[in-house]
Amino acid sequence: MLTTMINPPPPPRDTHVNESFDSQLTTRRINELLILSVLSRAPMHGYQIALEVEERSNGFFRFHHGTLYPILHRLEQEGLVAGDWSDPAQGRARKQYSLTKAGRRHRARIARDWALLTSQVAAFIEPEDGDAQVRTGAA
Amino acid sequence: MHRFAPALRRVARELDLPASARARILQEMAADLDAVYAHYRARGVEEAEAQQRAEESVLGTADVVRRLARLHRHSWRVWSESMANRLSSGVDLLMLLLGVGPVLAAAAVLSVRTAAVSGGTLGWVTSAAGILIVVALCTSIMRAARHRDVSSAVLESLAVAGTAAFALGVLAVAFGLHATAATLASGPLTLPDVATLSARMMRYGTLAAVGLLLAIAALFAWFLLLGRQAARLAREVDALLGGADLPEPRSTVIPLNPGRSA
Repeated sequence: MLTTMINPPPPPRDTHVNESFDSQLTTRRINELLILSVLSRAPMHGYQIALEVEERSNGFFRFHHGTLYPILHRLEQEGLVAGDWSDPAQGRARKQYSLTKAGRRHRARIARDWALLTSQVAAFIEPEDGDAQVRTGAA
Repeated sequence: MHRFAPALRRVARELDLPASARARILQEMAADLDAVYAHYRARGVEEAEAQQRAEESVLGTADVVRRLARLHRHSWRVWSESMANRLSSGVDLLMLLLGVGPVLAAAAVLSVRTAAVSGGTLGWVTSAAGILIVVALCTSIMRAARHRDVSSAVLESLAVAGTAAFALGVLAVAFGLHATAATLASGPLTLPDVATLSARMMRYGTLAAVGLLLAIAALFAWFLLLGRQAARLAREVDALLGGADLPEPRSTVIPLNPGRSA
């Protein structure tokens, strides 16, 4: 289970990471993809977004509600989501987030990038003939 | 007072932001705190534990609060809000009215007189449009003042209208100068040429005056509405937190000689 995906731990010293692969950026993109995907279905409050991410991933992804605010507010400033306040006359004012057109395009773009990344990693770690033989022998 | 007022007050003290930005963040957190609390209570969690879990979940760590503050802290916002607050106070508002009022009146009289003298359709149309927009601006200000609610959309449209009007004024000056220079460069002027040139300059002058008049009116209205919005949000948060004495945001003035200021 991945809990609160922002602020990932630093990689171990003996890990050699390609400079073009930015792990923090990847984490940020995953967070964005999760939030934008949830909002692509319907406008929601911050609290509902956290719940929806957790429920749709069967608890695999879990956001602390507090850590959502900086991400949502940044997305709002970038024009990818729109935050609308309910009328205070109808009770307590609540902020609801919805996906903008730019947000929809951004979501599609990072979904494509993510699909490319996962397919590349999957191709890279595909089991070799030796691994298959070991498995067959074990069976 | 809100159930989570003490916790929200702690967050509020760490949010070094203009009053309206701080108020919006606290209101959002308060609504989510209520929702998470209700969520736990509905699952049979004890009152005190539900409250504690909601605070842990929603308010996050000090780092989250710092990141939020960094995200919302813009120098222009601190400046514009402090300016709007100052303008909302009686003396500054009076001084502003005394300063801007005569300029507005002079610009309005000038534009109408120019339109009347030049007799051009363009002059009359722009003057009429200008007056209509000013009336519409005044009506929206009165409505906002009566309902005590100013949405960000109104402020944004006002800023766009003001900028467009200013651009119109500047363009009119530029076109007027260009047209004059082109006429003068074409050779010695005859008497009919001078008359045509004068009429054209008057039309462009009218357009420039109307554009700048609208820009001033929009700027004036923008500050007033921003001040009202900030005051309303501050009152709401005050009610939410039970009258917390929150610090003002730090000044964003950059010292000219940082080395000597120490």
